[in-house]
Amino acid sequence: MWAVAPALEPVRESYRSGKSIQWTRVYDLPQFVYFDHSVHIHQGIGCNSCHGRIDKMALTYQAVPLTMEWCLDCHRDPAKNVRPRDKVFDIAYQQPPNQAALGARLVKEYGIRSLTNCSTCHR
Amino acid sequence: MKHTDDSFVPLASLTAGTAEKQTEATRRRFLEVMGASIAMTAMAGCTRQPTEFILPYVTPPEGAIPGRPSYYATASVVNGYAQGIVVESHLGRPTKVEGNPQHPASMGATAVHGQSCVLDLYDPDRAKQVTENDESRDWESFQLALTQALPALRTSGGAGLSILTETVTSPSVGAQLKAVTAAYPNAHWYQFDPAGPHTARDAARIAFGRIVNTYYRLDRADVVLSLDSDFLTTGAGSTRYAHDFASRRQVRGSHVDMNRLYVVESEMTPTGGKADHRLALRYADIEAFARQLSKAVASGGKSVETGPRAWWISALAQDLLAHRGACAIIPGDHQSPTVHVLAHAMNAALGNAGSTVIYTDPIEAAPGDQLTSLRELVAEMSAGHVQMLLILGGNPVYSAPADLSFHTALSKVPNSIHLSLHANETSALTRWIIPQKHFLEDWGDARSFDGTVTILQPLLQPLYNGRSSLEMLDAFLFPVPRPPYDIVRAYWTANSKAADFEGWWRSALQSGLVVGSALPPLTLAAPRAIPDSTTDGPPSHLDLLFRPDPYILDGRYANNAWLQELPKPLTKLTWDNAVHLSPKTAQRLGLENEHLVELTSRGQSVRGPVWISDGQADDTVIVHLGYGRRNAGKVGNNAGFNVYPLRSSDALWATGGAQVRAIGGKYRLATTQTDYRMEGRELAICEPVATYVQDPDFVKKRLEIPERTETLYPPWKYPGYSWGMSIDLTACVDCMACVIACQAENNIPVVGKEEQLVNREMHWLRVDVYNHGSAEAPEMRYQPVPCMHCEDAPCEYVCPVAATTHSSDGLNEMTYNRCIGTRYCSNNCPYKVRRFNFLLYNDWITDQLKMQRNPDVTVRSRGVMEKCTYCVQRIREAEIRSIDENRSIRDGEILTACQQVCPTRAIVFGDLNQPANRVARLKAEKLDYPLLAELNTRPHTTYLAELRNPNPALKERTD
Repeated sequence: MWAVAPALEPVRESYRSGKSIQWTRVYDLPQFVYFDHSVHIHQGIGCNSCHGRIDKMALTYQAVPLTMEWCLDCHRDPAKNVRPRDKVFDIAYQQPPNQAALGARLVKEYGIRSLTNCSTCHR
Repeated sequence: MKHTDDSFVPLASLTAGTAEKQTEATRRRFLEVMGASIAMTAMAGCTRQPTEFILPYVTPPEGAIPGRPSYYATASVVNGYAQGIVVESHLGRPTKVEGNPQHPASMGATAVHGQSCVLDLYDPDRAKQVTENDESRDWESFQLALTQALPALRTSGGAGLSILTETVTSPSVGAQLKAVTAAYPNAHWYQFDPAGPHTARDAARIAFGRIVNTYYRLDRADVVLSLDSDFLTTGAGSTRYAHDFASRRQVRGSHVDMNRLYVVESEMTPTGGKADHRLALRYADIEAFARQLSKAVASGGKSVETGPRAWWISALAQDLLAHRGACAIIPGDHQSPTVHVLAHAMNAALGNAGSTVIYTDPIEAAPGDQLTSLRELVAEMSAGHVQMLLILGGNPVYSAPADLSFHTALSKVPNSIHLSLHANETSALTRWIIPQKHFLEDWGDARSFDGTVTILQPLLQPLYNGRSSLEMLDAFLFPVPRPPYDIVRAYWTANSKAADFEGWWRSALQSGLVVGSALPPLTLAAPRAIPDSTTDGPPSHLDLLFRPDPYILDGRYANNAWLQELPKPLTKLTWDNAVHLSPKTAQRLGLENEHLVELTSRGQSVRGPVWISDGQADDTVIVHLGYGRRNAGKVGNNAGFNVYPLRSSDALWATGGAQVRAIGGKYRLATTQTDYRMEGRELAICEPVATYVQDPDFVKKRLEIPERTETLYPPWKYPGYSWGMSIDLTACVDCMACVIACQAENNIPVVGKEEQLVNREMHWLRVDVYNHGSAEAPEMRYQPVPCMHCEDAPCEYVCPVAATTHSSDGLNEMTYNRCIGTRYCSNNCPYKVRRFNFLLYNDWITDQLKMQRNPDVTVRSRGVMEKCTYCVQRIREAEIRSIDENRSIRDGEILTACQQVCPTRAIVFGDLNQPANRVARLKAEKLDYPLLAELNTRPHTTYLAELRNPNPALKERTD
């Protein structure tokens, strides 16, 4: 059923013609910021921590400011946002009431550092 | 300054690439125009950044992850000789060249040309279009024209067809050429390389009756004598020789066994600067010296001559004899055949053959006397016998010996075809120009200095639909030429002798070399003796020596902006060549630096600026080839002056009777270092090894290192990693590969001669040269100076906007987007390692140059400060990988760009917090010291003092 849905026509057209679909970036950092996604996922930052409830967005919008201050807020204290690795892709995950203790434990276990060096993101 | 000679162009037109420079007038005008619109946009609310798109692959290439580079092994081919490299490719764009650790010619390092080849690939001035008589054509129309001409050629057996190549070491190209000459028996294949080892070939024939390839195993040598050979930085084997030589010179702890280097030369070369003992002799005197030494060696170390150098020769002979089988005598490529033959004889007498001196079959596909070959071709052309001339690469109109008048002969050829990377001086006179593929775009193969074969694989599709030699030759053999991939595979299917060809092929491509393809050593009969020379007459006036430019070589790289801007070894000149004279000779002629002179030899004259080189032999004029070109491209045109008009075929490298006369006026030369003195400071510390043995702590005793607490600032704590670097001054040979590697890796712009003249060079790393001796008897010391990454950095606390900060892993960081360009940091830096973008030096317009840029490093605009970052992009990448893999970073996992290419492993980088790490162990050595220690900056980059190994029997270094 989905295979012939009109909403997916751009995908089929792309496959037929070999032209890429031109997606507009919503979660877009400036070009002087060098951001690595893999290390955030690996260290226990879940999808909705930064992207919001993407699964509930009919049209993707930017749910968080993505300012440097906002990023530093977590970098200065990762314990308040970190979750167990197996829950990273759980889009509906909500922080437990004992996040402070859980976070402190996970930070130690995963070896998460509070990286506030300029060169962490600005090369 | 008015110049009457049109070989000099006003400086203002010498700029790099198409970088736009904003003058005062345009900046004001811009602000006037924009002022109104700026006011309007300010009221429109805060502006977001420009919209970015994501375009995913419909069919992704196998294994390509955007953001993660791929690495492919191939070889860089310079003058036909290969050096194994590994090329970093971002999404199908090669951006950086690294050495191939497994390749015998590189051992993981690269020479300067390995680094610069990436810029050659993306040169916007490359030939892009097939042309016939200056009209655009395409490959199909060329093929059509060729197909129409071939039947006549076939009937005549190829009479009138000539092919001119440079040195061919490629087995498959050699096979193609042989196939063509077999299919067309009356066709001829000629070879000529303007800067090739002609002398070595001639000498081998005299000594052994056949051409042989000679290379050296300096890892087995305790004593090395160079007879006018710059073997550490020049030549097909130089990277490997530097590596091996340095490995026998390391002093660590109580291990103090060092090799010894004697150099006898006319030019002041980097190898000469490294020597424990050096003699500066005139060209012909080196031959006389070699004869005297030969007799001394034969007589057990007693010099049979008398004269000023008798004691030197005697001590040298005794040292060589004391190390039979573990010494090496290396003759220079530009010396006379006699010197080579004498070197072969001495090496044989000293038992070096088979140990430190290895002879093999020639590497070339068709070794021969190239000068005779070219003379024959010119004679045939002049007589009108050549109907079709196919020139594969090269630039004979510019670089053939002047007396042959190649361009006149070429005009007699009705159908000439030039396959060339650039439309150069030769292409201007040929009928057809076919754009050539760069070796990074092409399938092929080549041999390196010991014969090892590398199969070349392309890194990207040809940018300009170019062709390669293989395809051009195939067009003569088949109606439809085969793709190079098929030709190379067909050759090796027949010649690999592998049971499983596919496995062999994959393994050769993956490792970057064909294992076991180094040519086997030969055992040769004793070299034939040279008859004693009749007494030479008194030396005629001034000797004139021609040398290939250390970077531009014979002129082929004149349009490579990185190579033009790279400071030459020792002189640190950029963008020009010069007329080099020794201090005494210059004084005698009443000349100073930058004085314009007319240089006359054999009735021909050229004009050039003088540059005084300490340590050069007296009464010797040295000029470098490769400059003064007219058809090089935007970068190379009119840089320097052309010396080829003086070069004739009977004296390719040296001639006598030259005259130099001042013509009045000056020509400004841009050099990055004007002062060679240390002024009593302990900058580059160098002592004989005996000093170290006597007192291992001598280095620290010389320095005033203040207490750690003598500072206003609290000590830094590095809980995780603490990055540091150690540079071994004994190992550095001033090859400058580190400087150009840094430029390639970090998107460092080229500024051009005008900016160089006002000291606005942008290289993050410089190699300082100090002369601790005198002008006649120099004692050269080399010191690479990158950012010291000081703990108490004077630059950090003066920045008003905190654009340069200290990281928790020991780096002095530079945040370009915060910098407002006060330049206070550079003002305060005592090492002067910071570089400011006074203008928009980076080329933001030319598409091809954008492809070369490293996407992991910011491309800086005007008004921001930059400096060495310890390759922070490499550190962060390794850090992320290690976190993803749940481990810590291994020692040696991060190689900074400069470390990676250094042939002698002089630069070592790593985590100081692990005492077992290489860098930590080096810093624990007693030879370790910081630069300008008295300033208490606590740099993370420190040096190991240089040690030399002089012969106790030779108290003075020169006479």
